[in-house]
Amino acid sequence: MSDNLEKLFKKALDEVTVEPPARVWEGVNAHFNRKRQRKLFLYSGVAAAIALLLAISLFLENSVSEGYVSPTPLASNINTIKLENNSLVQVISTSNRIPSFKHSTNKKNIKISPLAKNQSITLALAGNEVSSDLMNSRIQDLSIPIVNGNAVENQKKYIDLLHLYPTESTYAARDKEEEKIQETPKPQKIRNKEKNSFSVGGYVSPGYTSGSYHQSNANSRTTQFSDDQMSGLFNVTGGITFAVKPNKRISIETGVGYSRMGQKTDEMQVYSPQLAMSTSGNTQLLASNVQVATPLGSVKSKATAAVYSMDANIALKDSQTPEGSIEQQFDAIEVPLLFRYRLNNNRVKFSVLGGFGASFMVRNETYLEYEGTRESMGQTDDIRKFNISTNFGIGLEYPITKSIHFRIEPGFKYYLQSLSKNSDIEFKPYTFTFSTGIGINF
Amino acid sequence: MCSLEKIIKKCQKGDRQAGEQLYKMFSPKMYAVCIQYSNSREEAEDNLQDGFIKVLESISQYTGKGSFEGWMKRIFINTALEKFRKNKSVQIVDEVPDMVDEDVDDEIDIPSNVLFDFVSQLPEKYRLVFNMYVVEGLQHKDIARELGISEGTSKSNLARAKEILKRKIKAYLSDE
Repeated sequence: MSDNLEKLFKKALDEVTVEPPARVWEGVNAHFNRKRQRKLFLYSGVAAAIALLLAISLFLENSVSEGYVSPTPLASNINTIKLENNSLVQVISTSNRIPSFKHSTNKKNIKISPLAKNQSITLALAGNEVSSDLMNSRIQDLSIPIVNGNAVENQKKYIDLLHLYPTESTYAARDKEEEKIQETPKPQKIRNKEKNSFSVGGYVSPGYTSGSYHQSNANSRTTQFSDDQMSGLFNVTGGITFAVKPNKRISIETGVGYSRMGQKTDEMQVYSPQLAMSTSGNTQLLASNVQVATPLGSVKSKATAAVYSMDANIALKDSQTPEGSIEQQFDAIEVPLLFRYRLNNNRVKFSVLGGFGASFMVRNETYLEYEGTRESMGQTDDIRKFNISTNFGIGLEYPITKSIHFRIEPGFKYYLQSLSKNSDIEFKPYTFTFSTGIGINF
Repeated sequence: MCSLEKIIKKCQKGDRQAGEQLYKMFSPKMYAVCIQYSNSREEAEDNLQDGFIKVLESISQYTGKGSFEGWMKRIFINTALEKFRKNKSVQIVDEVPDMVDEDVDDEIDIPSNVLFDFVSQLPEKYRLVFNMYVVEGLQHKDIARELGISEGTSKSNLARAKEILKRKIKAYLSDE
């Protein structure tokens, strides 16, 4: 018996402490600083992308404003009015509003000269001719420059300055002029009329999927799988979309898509039957149908080889290949509900979109890969059949024809619930997508 | 000084200063654990660093049930064992050595740090089994599973470890 020896050493080993060198904490600190910097870069990148999008949208918005034109010429109506003193006044009017000029109410200070035909309003207002010139009865057939929406009112003011009081016929002519102004159609924006209120489309989306992984510390296998071992999967998914457009800016979209989630776990130790026999001399084959622990839960393996990692549930004999990996794939049919807001209304449209997706699991498969062999192991236990995801993205639409457009949409999808129902395992998948597709407007 | 509970709560909220406080409180003890589960001081430092990063990253999962030190210690041991398993070569089952089954005197007075050094100088396969069995109180079947060896290997390694330690004690006492 060696109870005393065990007690002696247990007590000693429990008591002893050793001060670690300072560089250990510096290493811990540096790790978290790097992590924080990576987060900062990520946030900065997102902020820069949003700022860029906003800048592009503002720029494009301004471009649209420059494209506004008036359907009527600046001065479309020219009428000649004969005043009481036989002066002829030519009235040029327009429905476009321009700022009215201001002048002092003191008539002595007013210095406005009449314009000769074809002279511009600017020159007229800048002229230094005394108003007395205007009183000259020889002024005939001169144009009075009235060029804005307040034309009639300005004309009246102008006539008042000349001490010319309009007659009934003048008012009649002016009323007629006002009617014309009112009838003149208001300026309209020249835009591509989007009468389409409904569209369908299809997309293909190469993407990268992985997940945020945590394992509960409730059991002794806290660090059974480390982040270093895990990596995501590249895949291609696709689907069809339906969109309703209540207005030009907003559309509500749904559809049906096929997506894949999952992850790969490297640095797994694989026990192949051949190796087991050759190294141990034991003829017993490693049995299949064992429960294999994987990061996402237990798999009842039907593979001919067995796999084990960290504190796996199965204890195997001393024979192993150096390394293998487990790939866990989960395919789902997804029905999204997305809201899209178009940032501009130009030929090339930029948009932001966000919403939710309902995900129905249709396939659950785990593969074992080792030494160039890929075997199906079976299904992972306790995988949730239904999940909800949040979707975000930015979109670019380019018209190919009047009703068909091409779309490119980088996006991000994050699942709100853990894929596993096992309370010890939390794996929330996320996917980066780069969707390309075609939409047809109706 | 804040209580451990408060420090843990602050750490769970991502407070870096609290993380440093936690490190100062536990690093001497955990470094000693890492030394026993590592082949060199450098490896022990690496394990202490990696383990403490894991502690801070997963501290939100500590629910307050059970000893925090025990929870923390388990992370450091697992960190070291992960490396052991990655680097481990094929283990050959050792024969149980012929030993004189005698215990040591229960009144031996040897400083703890000397006994600590005796254990840390053991070959890796004996040292790990000895620590897991004697200090952590694990059964041979659990040790076998953790280390990927057979129960027989675990038992024989423990016996070897004890034999070497007894010799060291005898040598130490005779030198005094």
